[in-house]
Amino acid sequence: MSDSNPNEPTHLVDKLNQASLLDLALDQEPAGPRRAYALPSQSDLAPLFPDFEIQDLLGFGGMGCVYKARQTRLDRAVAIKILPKELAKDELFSERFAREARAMARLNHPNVVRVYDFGQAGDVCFLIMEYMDGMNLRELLNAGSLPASEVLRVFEQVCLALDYAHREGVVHRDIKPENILFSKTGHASLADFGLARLAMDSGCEVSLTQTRQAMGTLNYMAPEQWENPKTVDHRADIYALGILLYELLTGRVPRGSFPPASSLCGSPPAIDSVINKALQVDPALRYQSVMEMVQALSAEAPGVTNEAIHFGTFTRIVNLGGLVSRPKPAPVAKRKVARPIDEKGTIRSTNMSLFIACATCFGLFMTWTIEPVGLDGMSLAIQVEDVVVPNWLVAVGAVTTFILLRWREAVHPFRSLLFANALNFASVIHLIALVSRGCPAVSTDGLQVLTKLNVIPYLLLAMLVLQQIELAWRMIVFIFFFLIPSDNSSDMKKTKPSRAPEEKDDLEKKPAAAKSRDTASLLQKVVKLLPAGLGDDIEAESRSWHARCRCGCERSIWDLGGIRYKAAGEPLRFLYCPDCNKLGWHRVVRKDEFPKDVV
Amino acid sequence: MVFPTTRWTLIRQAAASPTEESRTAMEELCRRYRTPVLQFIRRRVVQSEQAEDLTQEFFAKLIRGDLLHRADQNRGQFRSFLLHVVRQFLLDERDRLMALKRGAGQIHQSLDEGSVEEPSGSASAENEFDLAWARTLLQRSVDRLQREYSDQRSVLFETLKDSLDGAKPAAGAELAIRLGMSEGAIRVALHRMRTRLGQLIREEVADTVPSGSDIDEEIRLLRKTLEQRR
Repeated sequence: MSDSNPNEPTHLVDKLNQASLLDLALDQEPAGPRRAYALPSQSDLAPLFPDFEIQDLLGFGGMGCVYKARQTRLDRAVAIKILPKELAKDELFSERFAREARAMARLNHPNVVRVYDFGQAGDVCFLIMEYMDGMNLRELLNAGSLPASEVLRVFEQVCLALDYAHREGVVHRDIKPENILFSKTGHASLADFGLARLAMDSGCEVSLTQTRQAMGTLNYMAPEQWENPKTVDHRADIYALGILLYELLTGRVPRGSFPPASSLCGSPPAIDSVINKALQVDPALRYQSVMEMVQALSAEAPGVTNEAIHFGTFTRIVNLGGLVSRPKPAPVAKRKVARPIDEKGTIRSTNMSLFIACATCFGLFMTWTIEPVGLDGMSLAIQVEDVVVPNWLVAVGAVTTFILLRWREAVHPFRSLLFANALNFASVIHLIALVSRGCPAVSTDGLQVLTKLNVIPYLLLAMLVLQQIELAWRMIVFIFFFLIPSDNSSDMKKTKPSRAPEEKDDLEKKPAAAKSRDTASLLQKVVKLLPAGLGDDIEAESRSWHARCRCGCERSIWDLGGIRYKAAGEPLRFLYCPDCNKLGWHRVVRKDEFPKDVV
Repeated sequence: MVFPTTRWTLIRQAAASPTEESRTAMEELCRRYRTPVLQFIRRRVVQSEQAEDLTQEFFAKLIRGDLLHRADQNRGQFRSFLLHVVRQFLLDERDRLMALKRGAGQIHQSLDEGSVEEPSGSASAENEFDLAWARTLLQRSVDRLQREYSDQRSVLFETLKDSLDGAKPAAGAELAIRLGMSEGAIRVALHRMRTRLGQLIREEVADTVPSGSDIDEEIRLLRKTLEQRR
C-alpha cells in the first residue's frame, strides 16, 4: 500500500511480515484448549438467567468470566460473574461458596462493589454484582502514570474500603489494580472480596497459575500467603497495599531490593518509609490496621492528600474513566489560572461606573441649584417625570453598578452581574428617551454658560452604552463557559499538541464542522483576542461556587444563583450539572465550605 | 476485571442520540483510521487535493453523526461500517456534483465515475482499504510498543525491532555482546516484546469490534487479506 502512496512515510511495519504480526495477536488468547475452563457463551447463559438480558462479555480471568447484563425488572445494569464449572463439581465448594458470598453481600460500603445475589444455576455458580461503567485501575495505569495527588486519592478510597471490610471480618487476599474498578464519575470501588480464598481452599489450580491475568496476583501476595495460606489474616492485605502504593507511584512492582519510590518518581520521601513498613516480611512488623497506615500516610504527606480533592485532577479521572482520553492521560487538565478579580478589566468598568455616577450627580446638582431658570414653565408633573426621576435613576443606577462590581464577591457573581446589567440598561433607555425628546433634564439649557456644554448627556449616554456592552459581554461569556460543559472538549484541544507524533499528522486539519461545533472553545479564543483582563476573571468567579450534585459527582458545577429551595434542612438550588448533563436540585456551598473529605 | 465497553460499542449504542462521550469516541476512532479512508478515496478521485477535501468532509459528517444510522446490526465491525459509509458517501457526492453540473452548467470532472460501480475495480479497492487498515493498525500497535520501550530499554527495542515478526535476529552472538546480555536473555526479551505487541494489537482491534469475542474473527479476516495480497 505504501508504495502507491508517496506521501506516506515508510514505517517500521512495512519492513516486517505483517501477517505474522497479526499471528502474535491470535496467539495471545487461544480460542479454547489453553484456557483452563470453557467460557460459557451468551446463548448458554440466557436460559439460566431468565430475569436478565445478557449483554457483552466484559472479561475473563482466573475466577471465571464476567458478563454485563441488564436486570429487566429493575432496569439496572449488573455484572454477572460466572465461576469456572470445574469449581461447581467440588461437593464441598457450594457450601464454602455460599459462606463467602454471604460475607461479600454483607459488605455495604461506597467503595466496595456490591454483591446483589449469588447461587447456582444449572452447573454454574454465579455472583451478581454491581456494574461499574468505567475502567479498572490496571487500564488506567497502562494509559500512563497518575500524578501523586490522584494516586493518593484512589489509594485512600481503596484503604477506606479495606478498613471497613477488615472491621467486618472479611479479608480480601487478592488486592491488585485489576480488582479496583472505577465508575465514570471517577469513584473507585474494590471488587472480588474473598474470591481468592475460595479458590485457594478448593485447591483450584485455575485461579493462580493457569491464566495470564492471574499471574499478576503473585506480585501482590504477602510472603505468608505463599508459606502458609491457612493462617493469612488482614495484614496480608496491608502488604498488598504497600505493593499497590509503590506501583501506583512508580508504575512498577517492587521486587527484591527495590529503589525508593521517591528516587523514581519524585514523590515525597516520607512515603518511602510508609511503603517499607507495609512491606515487612513479618506481619507483626507491618502496620496493624489499614487506618494506621492511612494515618501514617497523611501525617507524612499532609499536603498531598488534601490536594487530591482538587477538582481539576478529579475531572481528569472522570475523563479517563469515561474512556475519553484513553491512549494518553491528559496532562492535568488545568485551565488557565484566572487572575484575581480586581485586575484591569473589572477596575476599568467600575471606574467608569463611578465616573458616570459623579457626572450625573454633578448634572443633577447643577440643574437643581439653578432651578428657577431651568425648570421655569414646566408643570410639576413634568418636572418629576422628566427631570427628577430619570436623573436620580441614572445616578442610582451608576452608583449601584459601581458598588456591585466593586464588592461583588459578597454577592453571587452572576446575580450581581444580572442586577448591574438591568440597572444599567434601564439608565441607558431613559437617557436615550430623554435625549431624543430634547428634554432639558440632563442637558443644562437653563444656564447660558452651560448651553455650550450640552454635549454632556451624549457623553453620559456613550459611556453607559459602552458599559452596557461590556456587561452584556460578561454575561454571555459567563453563561457559555458553564452552560456548555466545555471540560472535555477544551481540555482535549489543549492536550492535542502533546499527543503522540503519529497522531499529529494523522489529523492535521480538524474537520471544520467539528471546530465550529465547539462554541465554548471558540468563545475561549475570542476571549483571548480581547484586551487583557476582559473575561479572564469570569471563570474564576463561578469556580468559587461549588455544588454537590445528587448524581454523586463531587465537583464545581455551574451555579446560576437560581431558584433556592430548602428540603430537610439542606439548601438546594436548581442548577445545571455538566457531569450528568441535566438540570436538577443540587446542594450548593461556597468553595471554602466545600467538604474536604469527599468520601 | 470489568472491562469498559469498546469504543465502537459505545458509538453504536448511542447511534440514535449521540452523547458527548460517543462523539469523542468517534472522533478518536476516525483520527486513527483516517489514512485507509484517505487512500480509498484517493483511488477513486482524480485530483489528490480533492481527495483530501472529501476525506475531511466525510469525517466531519461522520463525527457530526449524520451517517451513524447506517451502523446497523449486521455490519459488525467498525472497519466494514466505515467502508460501507465511505462508499455511500462517494456515490452521494458524485450525484450531488452531477446535479450541480447539470444545474450550473459547469464542468466538475472530479470523481472517477467508472470505477465506483465497476465491480472488479471496487473489489480491489476494498482489498486495498483492508490492507491499509491492517497497516494502520499494526503501525499504531508498534508505535505504542515503542513508546512503552522508550525508557531504558529503547536500545533493546531498536536492536530487536526487525525481529518482531519472528525473523531470527541476525548475528545473535554479536548482538549479545553489544547489548551485554546472554543469548538466552535476548530470546526471552524478544519473546516478551512479541507477546506485548500481540496484546497491544488485540487492544487496538478491540476498539473497533462490537464485543471481545469478535476480536479473533476480525484479526483472522485481516490476516486473510494480507495473505491474498502475497
